[in-house]
Amino acid sequence: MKPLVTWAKPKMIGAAIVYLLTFGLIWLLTPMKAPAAGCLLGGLISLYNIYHLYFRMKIVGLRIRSGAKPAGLHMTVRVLTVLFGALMVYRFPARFDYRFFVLSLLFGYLLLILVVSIYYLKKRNTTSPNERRETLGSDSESAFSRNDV
Amino acid sequence: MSLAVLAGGIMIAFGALAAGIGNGVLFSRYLEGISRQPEAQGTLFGQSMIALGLVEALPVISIAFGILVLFGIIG
Repeated sequence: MKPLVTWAKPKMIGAAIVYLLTFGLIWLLTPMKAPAAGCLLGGLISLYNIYHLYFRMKIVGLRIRSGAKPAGLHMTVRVLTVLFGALMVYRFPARFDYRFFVLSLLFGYLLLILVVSIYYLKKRNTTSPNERRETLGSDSESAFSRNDV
Repeated sequence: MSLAVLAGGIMIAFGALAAGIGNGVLFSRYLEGISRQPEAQGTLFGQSMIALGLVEALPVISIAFGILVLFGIIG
């Protein structure tokens, strides 16, 4: 099975496109403009936060492997993005519904958890017990070392 | 000072504090893992990513709610 990031990235991008298209169409075609705009804003911020976290972790991993000084995760940027969204909702209450904005802030995180959970469930079902032991480790190794001693 | 302002401030402050501690612990373990075993980065990356996502979801929501309470949109 492919590595987690390679497997999950197209799924995440596909789900994000479907989400944005759905709420974009609702915003365009129906009179529920404020809830749809709230969902779009919250979803976009949430997806940006997930992408930013992924990008920063990748950079830190590369820096560590190359022996350079590790960089931070830049959490302030993500917090300020949420702050920006909240200020937009405060400034334009007629255009953005705050309830849908707050709820849709969870979208990216829920999507991430869902995709990663599906990956591990699939991996559990497709890999043999020996392969699983090699990649995830198991108690049998410690039992072996105990017997060995 | 109204109670809503105090509530909003507490929400934002404790959300950020909890996320800071949680992210710090997780990230330090991630760095430790990569330094000890660089070939395990792929496995560690995915697992750390989901854990960091879980930790960050709470402060993001608390900050959004806190701002809305602070400006009097909710409450």
